[in-house]
Amino acid sequence: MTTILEVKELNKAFGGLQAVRNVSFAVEEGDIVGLIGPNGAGKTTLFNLISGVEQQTSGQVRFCDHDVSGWRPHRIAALGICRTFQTVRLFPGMTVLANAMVGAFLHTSVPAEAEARAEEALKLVELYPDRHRPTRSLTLVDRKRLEMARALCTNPKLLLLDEVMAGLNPQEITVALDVIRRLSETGLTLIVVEHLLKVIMQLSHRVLVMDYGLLIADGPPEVVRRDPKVIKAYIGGTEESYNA
Amino acid sequence: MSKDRDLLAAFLLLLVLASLPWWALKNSYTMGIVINALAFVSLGLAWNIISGFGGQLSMGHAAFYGLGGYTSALLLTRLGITPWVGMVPGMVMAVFAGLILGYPSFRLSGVYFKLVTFTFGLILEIVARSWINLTEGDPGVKIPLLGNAPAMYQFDSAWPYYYIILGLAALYFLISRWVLRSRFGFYLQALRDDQVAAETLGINSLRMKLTGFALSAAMAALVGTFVTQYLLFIDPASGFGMFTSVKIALVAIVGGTGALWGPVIGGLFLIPLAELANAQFSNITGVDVVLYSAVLILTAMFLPRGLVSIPDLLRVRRAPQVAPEEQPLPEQKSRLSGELGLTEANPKAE
Ligand SMILES: Nc1ncnc2c1ncn2[C@@H]1O[C@H](COP(=O)(O)OP(=O)(O)OP(=O)(O)O)[C@@H](O)[C@H]1O
Ligand SMILES: [Mg+2]
Repeated sequence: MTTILEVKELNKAFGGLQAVRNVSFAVEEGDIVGLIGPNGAGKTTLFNLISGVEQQTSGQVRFCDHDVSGWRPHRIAALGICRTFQTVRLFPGMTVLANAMVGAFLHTSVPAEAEARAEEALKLVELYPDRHRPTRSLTLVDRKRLEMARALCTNPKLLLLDEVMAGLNPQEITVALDVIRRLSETGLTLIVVEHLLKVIMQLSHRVLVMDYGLLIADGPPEVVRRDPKVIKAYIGGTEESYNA
Repeated sequence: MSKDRDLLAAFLLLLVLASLPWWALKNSYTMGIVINALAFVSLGLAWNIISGFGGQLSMGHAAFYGLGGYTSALLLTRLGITPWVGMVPGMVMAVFAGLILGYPSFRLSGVYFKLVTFTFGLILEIVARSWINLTEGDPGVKIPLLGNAPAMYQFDSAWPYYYIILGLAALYFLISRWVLRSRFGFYLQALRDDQVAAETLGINSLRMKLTGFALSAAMAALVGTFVTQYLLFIDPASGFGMFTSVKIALVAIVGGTGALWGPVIGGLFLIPLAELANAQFSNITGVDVVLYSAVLILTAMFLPRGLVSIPDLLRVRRAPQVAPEEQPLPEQKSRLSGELGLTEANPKAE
């Protein structure tokens, strides 16, 4: 197994608020890594730093033997990191298919090829019948599906999923888990942020736990779930996430 | 609208417009109105690339139009260079100016781009007024009369001008259509809709916007050379003035910002309307200004997506349960959870 992503002593401060504190970890190629933590723990901020959407205060992100610290997001994307947004960010003026095609154009400038790639990804997330609809007319769940399809169209090596399963019913979660596992089998590396602990424990090869910007646990699910620090963080956390 | 229907409709419109001089436009006055309209159709199509598709509102597009017109006019009067050649340096000047303006302002928020383009038009107008040695100041540059001299981009009747601008408008329509369907166009629209998301998909926002702006500026400059040759003069106000900039934007906005057909419909509707109003109330100056303002306000209030959205609106009125642009619904999966998702995710919005 080779290390694909390495985060070293990463810090991010918003004014006086330390959203990410000295976080270090490494991700092996092909792994599904779960990232959990109570609200405000810094999970989304960590994704923003890795994908270049925000600049770290200090620390380093290495991906595929490149130090990508300080790179613009489009260069990081070209290197193979793609992410979804917790607050879904689609292109509302474009159709479902066009949204996915924007992602697919990363590796081809031929519209027909981008379209074929986009259609394939839309089939995977079961949005193919809706491909000509305007994105405005999609439900939130479908928007999340589309965002995931769009990210897949860029053919990433590492995919960061930020709460793509929030709001899904149990059957839909089963489908989503199946999709993620299938992606993982193709060699894709994933970091998955989710509040549903049970889901994360089922899915992940490894689990990272953040609390108040700190990485408080890092290990296999069965070890992490018994970690006293994690239990403590979650008793202070929200009801829903603990019961899930 | 389907892609091929666009082409077919454009071709039919082209045929109709091309036939007009044979049966409708019998004198140079009426022909002049349509020439003017087609010039603004072309300028609107140029503006639409960066401002419509790309969402970067240029408030001073006359600057590029004026650069094209002045450059070819001065090269002709000073050096005797035919505008057929002089239009190329005109476009180069416009591209150069666009890159210089765009490079700093595209890195900032959209407001700066509006301010910078607006100010640039003002500055060029002042320069054209005061740098008399170069630009001949307020009276503007007169193109020397050469009679019928096709090689010098000059004709003794209106119809060659008519077909040149018709061809140019058709070319610009094709360019717009190509842009919309290419990666470049997808990227411009993605940036317009959500720049952060676009960048995380690998889009170099600065480069895309600069490319769009350069193309848009070059297209406007070419129209500048045309209009200068047709009117046989260019002056600071008509070349760089705010009114020209506003008209360029208005043609596209009234027709439909970001829509392929927007500037075409907008230009063919708005310019003849203004000419008609001016002719009707020739004793009052500035009727067209009032008209443009009124049309802008009405569009903003009742047709935010422009004249091109009227068919969609009519369709909705007839069948209110179907939203515009929608296909009939495919068989539904369980969507109930969508509502759940909505209520659950909102409190966590960043
Ligand atoms: N742009 C910003 N400016 C200021 N503070 C921010 C910004 N982004 C995040 N924060 C703060 O940083 C902290 C971490 O936020 P973050 O969104 O990363 O948490 P999270 O773990 O994703 O939480 P959630 O589970 O609610 O999504 C929070 O206190 C948040 O208020
Ligand atoms: Mg978050």
